Amino acid sequence: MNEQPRFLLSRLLQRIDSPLGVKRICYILLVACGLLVAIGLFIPHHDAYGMGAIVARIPGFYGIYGFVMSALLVIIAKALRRILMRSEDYYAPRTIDNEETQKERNSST
Amino acid sequence: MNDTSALYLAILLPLLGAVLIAALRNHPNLREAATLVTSVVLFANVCWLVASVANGATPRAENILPMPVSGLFLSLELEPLGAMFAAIASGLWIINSLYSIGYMRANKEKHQTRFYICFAIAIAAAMGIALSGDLITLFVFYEVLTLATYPLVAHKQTAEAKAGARTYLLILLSTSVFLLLFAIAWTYDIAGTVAFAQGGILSGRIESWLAPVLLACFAFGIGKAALLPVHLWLPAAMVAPTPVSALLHAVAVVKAGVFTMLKVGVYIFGIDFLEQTGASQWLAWLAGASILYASVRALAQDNLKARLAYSTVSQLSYVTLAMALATPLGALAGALQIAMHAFGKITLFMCAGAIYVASHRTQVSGLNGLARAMPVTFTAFAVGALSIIGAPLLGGFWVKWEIIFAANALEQLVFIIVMIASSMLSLAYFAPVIGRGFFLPPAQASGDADASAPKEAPLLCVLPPSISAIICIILFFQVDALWRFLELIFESTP
Amino acid sequence: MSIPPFLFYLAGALVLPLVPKGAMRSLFLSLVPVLALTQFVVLPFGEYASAELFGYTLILLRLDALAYAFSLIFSIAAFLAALFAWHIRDTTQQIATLIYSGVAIGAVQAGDLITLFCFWEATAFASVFLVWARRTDGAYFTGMRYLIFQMLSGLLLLAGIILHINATGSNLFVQFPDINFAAVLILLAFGIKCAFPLLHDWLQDAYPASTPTGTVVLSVFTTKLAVYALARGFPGLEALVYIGALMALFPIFYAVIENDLRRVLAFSLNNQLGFMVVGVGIGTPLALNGTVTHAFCHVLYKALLFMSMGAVLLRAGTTKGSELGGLYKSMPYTTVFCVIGAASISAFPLFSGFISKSLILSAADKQGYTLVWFALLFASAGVFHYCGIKIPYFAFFARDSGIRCREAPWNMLLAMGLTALLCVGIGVFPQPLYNILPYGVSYVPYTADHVVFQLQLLLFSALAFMVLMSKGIYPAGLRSVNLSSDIVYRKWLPRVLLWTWGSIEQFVVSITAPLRRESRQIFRNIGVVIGNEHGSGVMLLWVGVLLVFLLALTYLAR
Repeated sequence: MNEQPRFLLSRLLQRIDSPLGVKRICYILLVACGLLVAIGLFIPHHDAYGMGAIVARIPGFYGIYGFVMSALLVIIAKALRRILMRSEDYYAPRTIDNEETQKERNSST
Repeated sequence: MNDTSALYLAILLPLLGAVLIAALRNHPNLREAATLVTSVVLFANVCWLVASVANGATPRAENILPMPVSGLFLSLELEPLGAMFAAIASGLWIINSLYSIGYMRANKEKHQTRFYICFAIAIAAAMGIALSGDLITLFVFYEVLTLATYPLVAHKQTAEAKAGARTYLLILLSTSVFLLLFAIAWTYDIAGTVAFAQGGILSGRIESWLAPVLLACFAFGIGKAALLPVHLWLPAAMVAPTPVSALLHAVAVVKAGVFTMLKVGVYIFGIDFLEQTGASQWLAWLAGASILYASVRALAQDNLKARLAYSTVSQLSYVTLAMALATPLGALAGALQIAMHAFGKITLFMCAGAIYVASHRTQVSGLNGLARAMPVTFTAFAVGALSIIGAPLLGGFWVKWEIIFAANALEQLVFIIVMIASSMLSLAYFAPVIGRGFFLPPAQASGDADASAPKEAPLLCVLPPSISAIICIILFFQVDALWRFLELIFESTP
Repeated sequence: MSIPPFLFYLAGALVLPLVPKGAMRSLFLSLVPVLALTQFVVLPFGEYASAELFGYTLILLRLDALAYAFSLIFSIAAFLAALFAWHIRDTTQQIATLIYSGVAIGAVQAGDLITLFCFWEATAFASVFLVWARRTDGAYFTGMRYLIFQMLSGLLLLAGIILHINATGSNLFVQFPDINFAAVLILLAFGIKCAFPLLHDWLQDAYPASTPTGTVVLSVFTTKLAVYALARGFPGLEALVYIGALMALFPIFYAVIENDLRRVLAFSLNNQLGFMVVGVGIGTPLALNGTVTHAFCHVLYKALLFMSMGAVLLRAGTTKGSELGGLYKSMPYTTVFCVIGAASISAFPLFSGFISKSLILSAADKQGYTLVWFALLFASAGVFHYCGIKIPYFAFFARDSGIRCREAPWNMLLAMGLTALLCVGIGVFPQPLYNILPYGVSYVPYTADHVVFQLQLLLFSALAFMVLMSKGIYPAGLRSVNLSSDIVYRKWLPRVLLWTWGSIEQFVVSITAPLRRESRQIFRNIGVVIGNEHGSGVMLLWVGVLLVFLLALTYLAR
C-alpha cells in the first residue's frame, strides 16, 4: 500500500493515517486533556446554575464524566450485541439490509 | 318543458337510446354516437332537474301506472338525495361510455350491441330508482336493474362468466324478493303507505322491538348495498368486462343499493325515529365489521379487480354505517360518500381496465415497473386510490371527516377507530399498486411477447379515468356546494 | 397579497416534466426554493392568504418567529438538497422532492389545524416516493412500512383535530391548553413523526433505504416538522422532558453497534431530536429558543453528514462500516466535509452544534432537571463517540478496504461545501441566528467555562475511544442487523396473524364444507329445473316468464 493518492488533500490526510501520525495524535490528545483540566481549575464559572455550578467545582469533572460514560456506553452496547445482533438477512427479503451482500454474491457466481 | 315531463324523460331517454342503439347495430360508429348523444342529453336533462330541486321545487308525478295491489301506483318524486344520485349516474354514464368504446374496441369484444343496449337499460333503471317516489316503484326499478345488468356480467359467455353471473343474479334476486319485498309489504301493512316522506312514516306505528327486525329485513334485502353476508355477489361479478365493473361499482348498481339504504333510513324510518329507538345501532356495528372484514379480504387479493371489489364492499359500508349512526350529519356524510366513492372507484376500475388493455396483466404482483410505460394511467390510479383512502386534497377526505365528526358527536369512539383502521387498510391494499408500478424493476424474461413492451392504453381508455381523477380533486374544493345541496334533504318537505 | 411559498413548489412540480432534462431542469429545481424564499423572507409577521372551505377558515400563510425560523431553514435545506441532487435524472424523484419540500414549508406556515393536517398527510405521501426511488424490492417493502406509520400519524392527527374542533369550535393551531383526549391523540400523531421511543423504528428503517440524495431530503423535513408542531402545540408539557431525555439516550447504544453508517446517522438523528423535545418540554423562553436553534443547526449538519454518506454510497456502492475504510485516499474533500459535519454534531466550539445544544443544556439545568441534565451530558459525549468519531473513522480511515473510487461529483462537493460553510459560519457568528429566535434572550455561548468544559467532555471521550480501540474492545463493524421494537410488527405480528387466520380458516372450512356440498347439490337441482343445462340465458328467460306470470295472476285476482 505505498501508492501515492491523487489528491494533495489525500496526501495530507495520509500523514494522520500513518502509524507515526496516530501516535502523535495520541500524545496531542493526552496533552490537550491535561491542559484542559488544568485550565478548568482557574476559570470563573458564571454560566452555571444548579447542578452545573456544583460539578464545576469538581476538578476535571466533565473530563471524567465524558471518559467514563463513553467507555460505559461502548461496553454496554457491546454487551447488547449478544442479545440484539442477528444475521444480515434476518428480515430478508423485505428489507434492504442484505441487498448489497446479495448483489455481491450474485455477481461473483 | 316542465318538471314532470323532465322526470319522465329521465327514464325514457336511456330507453330511447337503447332502441336507437339496436336500430344502428350495423353501424358501430353511429351506434356509439347514439350512446354518447343519449348520455349527454340525459345528463343535461338531469342537470335541469337538479337545478329545479336546488331552487326548492319537488318535481313529482303520481299515479302513473296502477300496481296489482289496489291503491298502489308507480309514482315518481325527486328529492335532493335522488337528484344527486341521478346526476352522478348520468354524468358518469358519459365518462363510462367514452371508456366503454375505447375498451370494447381495443379488446375486440363480441356482442357489443347487446352490451350497449343493456347498459342503456341499466341506466334507465338507475334513473327510475333515483326518481322513485315510493318503495314499490323503487323495488320495480331495482329488479329491472338486476335483470338488465345480468347479461352484462355474463358478457364473455365463458363458463366462469356464467357462473359468476349466476351467483350475482341469485343473491340479488333472492334477497330482494324474499327480504326486501317482504319488508315493503310489512311497511305497507303497518303504515298504510310506502311513499317516502320527510321524517319517515314508521314513527309511532311500529313497536320499538320490531323496528330493528324490520330494519334488518331492509338492510339484508337490499343486496346491492353488499352488507357483510350478502356481499358475495360483488366479487363474483368481477368476471365482467371492466366498463361493466365500473357500472356495477361506481355508476349504478352498488350506488343504487346504498342509495336505497339511505332512502329507507331517512324517508321510511326517519333519522329521528332511528335515533330515539336506537334501532340501527346493531347495523352500525355490522357495517363497521363489514368495513374491516372486506378491507382485510382486499389485502389478500392479488387480482387487481378482486382487490377493488372487496374495497367496494368496504367502502359501501361507510354509507350504511353513516346512516346507521342515526344523525342528520351521519346521513349527509353517507350521501356524500355515494358521490365521492363513485368518482374514486370509477377511476380505479377504468385504470385497471386500461392496464389490462395495454398489458393483459391482472395481478397486482405483476404490475412491477408498468407505470414507467403508463404514467398517466398510474397517476390517475394514485389519485383515485388516495381519494378512496381519504387523503386530503381529494374528495374522499370529507367523507372521513364528516363520519368521524358524526361518530364523535355520539361519543362512539369505536367507529372512529373503524374509520382510522379502514383508512390504514385501504392504504395498505392500494399502495402496492403505486409502489410496484412506479418503482420496482419490471419482471425479466416473462415468456409472453406483448408483456415485453407495454405502452399506454388507447386514448379513450386513458382520458376518461384522467377526467374522473381530476373531478376527485375538484370535489375536495367544491364540497361546499354539494353539501349545501344535500342539506336540503332535511330542510324541504318532499 | 402575498403568495404562500408552498404554491411555488407545487407549481414547480407541475411544470417540471415540461422542463428538458439535464442542467436546465437542475437549475429549475434549485431556483424554486430561492423564488419561494423571496416570498416570505422580508414579509412582516402576520397572517396572509386565508381561504374558506367547507365552513372553516383556513390560514395558508401564518408567519411568526417560530414559523419563520423553520421556513427559513427548510428553504435553505431545500436549495442545498437540490444542488446536491443536480446530477439526478429521475423525474419521479425530482417531483417528489419538490412536493415534499413545498408541503413541509406549507405545514410550518399553516395557521390552522385543517391546513396543517393536509400538509401533514402530504409530506407522508410525497416522502415515501423518495424511499421507493431506490427501486429495489427491499426499498419497496421498507417504503410500505414507512408509509403505514406516516399514515397512522396522519389519522391520529385527524381524529384529534376533529375531537378538538368539536370540543372547542376552533380550528386555529395554537398551544393546546389542556391535555384531554383530543390533545393526547394529536400528541401521539406528532410523536410518531418525531420518532418518540417505541414509535421511532420507521426512521431507522426507512432513511437508510432511500437513495443517496433522497435520504438528505428525508432527514431535513419530516422530523423537524414534528418538532415545530410540538413547539407550537405543547410547549412546557413536562412529559416531553422525560420522553426527550429517553430519545437522546437509547439510540446511542444502537448507534455504537450499528453497521450501516447511514443508519448510524438515523440513530443520531433520533438522539438529536431528543434534545429538541427536551427543550420543548421545559418550555421556558431559553429552552424554546434552544429547540429552534438546535433544529436550525441540526438540519444543516445532519444534511451535511447524510450528504457525505450519500456521496460514499454513490461512489463506493455501500455505507456499511464493515466494507468501508481508507476512503480518504479517493474522496478527500468528502472526508473533510464529513469531519466538519461530525464536529458540528458533536458540538465542538466554533461549530454550529456548540451554539445550539448548550442553550438546551443550560435551560435544563436552570429549571432543575438535574437527572435529565446528566442524561443529556451523557448523550452529548455519546454522540461524539458514535457519530463524531465513528462515522468519519470507519468510512474514511480505519483499515484500508481497498476501495478506490472517484471523488464525489462537483455538485455534491459544492453542496457539501456550502453546507459546511454554513455550519462553521453559524458556529463562529451565532448572533444572526440568535436574532431570528422567537424569544428575545441574550445568550452568550462562548464563555471560558463553557468552551473548556465542552472540550473536556469531548476530548476525554475521544481518549476513551482511543483506549478502547487500541485494546480492541471497540465493537468492529459486522454485517448484521440489530433487533429493535420493530420486531413486533416485522416478525411477530405477521406470524400471529397468519397463524390466527389459518386456524380460523381451517375451522370455518371444517364446519361449512358439508353445508356447502349440500347447498351446491340443491342449487344444481334447482338449476336443472329452471334450465341451467341450456345456459344462463334460458334461466333468465324463465325468471322473466315467472315474473310476468305472477303479474298476470295478481291482476286477474284483483
